[in-house]
Amino acid sequence: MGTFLIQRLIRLVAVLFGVSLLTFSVLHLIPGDPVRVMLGDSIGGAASGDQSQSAYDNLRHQLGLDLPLPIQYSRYVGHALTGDLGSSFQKRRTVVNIIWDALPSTLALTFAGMGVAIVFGTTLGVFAALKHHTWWDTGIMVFSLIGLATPSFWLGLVLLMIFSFRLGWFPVNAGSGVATLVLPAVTLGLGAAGTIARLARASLLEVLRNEYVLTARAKGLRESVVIIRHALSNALIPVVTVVGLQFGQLLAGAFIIEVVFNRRGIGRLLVDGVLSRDYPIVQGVALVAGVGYVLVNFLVDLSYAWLDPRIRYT
Amino acid sequence: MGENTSRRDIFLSRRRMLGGAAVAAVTAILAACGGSGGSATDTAKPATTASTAAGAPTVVGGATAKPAAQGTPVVVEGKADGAPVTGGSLTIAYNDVPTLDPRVSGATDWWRASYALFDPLIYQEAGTLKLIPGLAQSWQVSDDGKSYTFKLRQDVKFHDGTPFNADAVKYTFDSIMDPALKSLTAIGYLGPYIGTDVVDPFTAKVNFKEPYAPFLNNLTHSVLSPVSPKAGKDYNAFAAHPVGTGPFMFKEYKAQASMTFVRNPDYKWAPALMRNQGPAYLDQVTYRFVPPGEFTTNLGLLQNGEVQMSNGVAPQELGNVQKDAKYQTLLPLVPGSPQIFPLNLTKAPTDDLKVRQAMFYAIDMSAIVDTLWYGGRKAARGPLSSPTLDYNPAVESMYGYDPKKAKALLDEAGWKPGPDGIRIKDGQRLKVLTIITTGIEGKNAELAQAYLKDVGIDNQVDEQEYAQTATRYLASEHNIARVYFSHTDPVVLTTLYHSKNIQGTNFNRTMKPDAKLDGMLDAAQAELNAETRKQKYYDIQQYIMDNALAIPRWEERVFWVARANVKGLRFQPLGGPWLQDTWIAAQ
Repeated sequence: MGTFLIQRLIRLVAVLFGVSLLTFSVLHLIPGDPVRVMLGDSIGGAASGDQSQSAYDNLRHQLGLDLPLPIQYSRYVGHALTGDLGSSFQKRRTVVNIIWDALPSTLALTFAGMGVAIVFGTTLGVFAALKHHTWWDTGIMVFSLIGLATPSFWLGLVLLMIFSFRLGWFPVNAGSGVATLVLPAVTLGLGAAGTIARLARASLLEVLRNEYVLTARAKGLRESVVIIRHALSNALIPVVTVVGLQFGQLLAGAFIIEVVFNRRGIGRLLVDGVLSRDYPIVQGVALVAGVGYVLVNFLVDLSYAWLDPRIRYT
Repeated sequence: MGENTSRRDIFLSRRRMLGGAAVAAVTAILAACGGSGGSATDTAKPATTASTAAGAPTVVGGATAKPAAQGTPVVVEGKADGAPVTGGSLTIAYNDVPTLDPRVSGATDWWRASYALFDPLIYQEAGTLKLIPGLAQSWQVSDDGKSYTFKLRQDVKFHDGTPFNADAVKYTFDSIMDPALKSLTAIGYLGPYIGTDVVDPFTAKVNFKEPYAPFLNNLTHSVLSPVSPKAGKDYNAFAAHPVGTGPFMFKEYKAQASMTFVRNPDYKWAPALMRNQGPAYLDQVTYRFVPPGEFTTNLGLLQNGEVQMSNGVAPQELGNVQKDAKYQTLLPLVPGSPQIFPLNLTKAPTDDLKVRQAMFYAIDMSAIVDTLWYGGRKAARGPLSSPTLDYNPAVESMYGYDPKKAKALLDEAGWKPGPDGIRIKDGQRLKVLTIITTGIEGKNAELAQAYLKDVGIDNQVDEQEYAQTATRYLASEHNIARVYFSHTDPVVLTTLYHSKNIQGTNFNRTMKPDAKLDGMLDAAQAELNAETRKQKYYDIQQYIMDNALAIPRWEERVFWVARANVKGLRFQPLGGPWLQDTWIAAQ
């Protein structure tokens, strides 16, 4: 287990290094000068263009953008190692601070989306399996396919249109409170629900063919007891691992949902950051997302061992 | 002054970008502080023929509507019927703001909102552009135009309890010049600032390297408002919790969500401009952040009553909200440079005056602007918007839509129609490149493209995000660019046409240094005599049009929609609401 952990830690560092280098390179490859964007066309400058020019030079210097790229990068990595991700060009606050503010909202959405996915997915999957070879089964499978294939930004807009603008059941714009979480969570969770439903159905159908289920039935147990106690507990093991793997995708999906629903969160930070060339923000979000992704995968790996005693990490 | 469109352009394509991934074409939209405009209120006729800054403004409001006299700027005001009510809270759908320190901010939205927290030394009345004592009771300009002496009010306190005095004025200006503050806008407004002498506790003398005539107008802008020296010292802390002297005090800022101000109960130094001389009526003002371009969200929030006011409703909704008695629509004009297409004088074929003039005549900008804004904006006819100080109405008639004249000019310049209608000279096709942001801007360029084709000009339009256009402008790749600046003072022309703004800031996108124009601009900037100064700016406007440096597009407005029970809305010269006179009536 110790070696396993160390291996994973080394891999984490390597991934983060790769993420930071890639983000840094891409940001500097796309055209656009962050200082020019900061000034917008909005520098006072009315009176004196000289002053504007010196403001421009000063900003570049203060932000360290006048240094050669390798030095900028090594500086960034050096600071990042001490937990200092720099300050946002646009917002004049530290990146850590800004991400810390936005992260809970993203996590809340991700977990809520996951909740929706699990509840809808397993319920529909199990129901479909029990109604195998009926129109119910076919209907649910078609529905889950649609759920899988629907782009979330489109679904989000449609849900907004119906439930917020037409019916007025949910707030239009994200504020705080649970009500604002419902539509985004449903939008986010529906795709994953499709995956889970299909998996839960297949898994349960397989388990139901096992001899111990036959035994349970032969003992004269009620069908509900057979399903719930004997079949489901085994059928859901693969579902749990898939849910873990889905987490990363849900996190990525949350980024898009945030933009669609104007929710606060690190996804919106990222998109705004790219458009305004706010390098520290983009790099910071990429790093945090990278850490999150690696961490979740790590936990999923650990959960295999816990769920299936035959798996051991050495 | 300031540019509102850029920030909006930066962000407007966010949701679109995602949608666009699927739809390929990004049908972005213009947003934010701009909206469309057309009529002053739901009861008054629009006066879109404003032409001179002289003369008394006509107040157009629900209760006080008077017909706008020809050639008079209109002051837009909301309904103010009934007795003011103290209490209540106003929620406004608004753009998120990057930093809350006015000394630093480059965001039009914060400039407009920050008047609630900060009093400037001098206030300015919309329409007349008259200067009105704020924290400075009086001022005097030295004969050489290099020093300004201010007598300050003695009864003013900052929100943190510290007294306002000459030290605070000195501190504010000195800190703006500190490179570590990284000021975006204020530093430009201070121009050739050297320092401030504290003559006595309530007399401050501000000194400049050279005569600096625009300073008084610049001072009316919220970016130069005095800040509390005690709170201002820690730049980062101040950017998160600003402390001024204004009618409202900062309460909280929630990133990506909202910001809230509460009434300053001690406020008794309102400028004469305000009808309410005591503390503000509203208990609280909340700005609810909606990203630019989210037109539907803005309208939805208004309909649901989640906000009572918004400046982000779609231009095509103008007609609908005007008809709806639940709302009042208020569309203050913004002075400064109108939206323009600067032409690149260093790149063929726009280096040829005749070709540039032909382009002026070829495009029916009035028709385009009507299409783009659903009648809510009027075409600009010169280098300044009509409500700007020293606006020269004489340039209005210089160019009109005249395709025949455009063709004749192109013939004269040696460009003859080729087989496909596009003109040819020495084997070269007559091609011009427009580089522009997406949304309304891009649509504007596409509509112009069709007109240019009619006279035989092949116009390629590249629509890109803001950051990319800015880079390509600086590299001088364009024939046609875009820019827009707001300011009450004509000194805005220095920003857009002086050669020192070609490199670096690159707000001068004509790209070619012009020593004569530089000289005219410098002289006007140093001129203290109002009449002489006016003549100098008249000549500059004439010169810019004679040389066809930039095609005027439209005069900016802010498209405010408020619920009808929001009373006493009055506006700053640059289009934001003063909230001192505002109250909420029972519905």
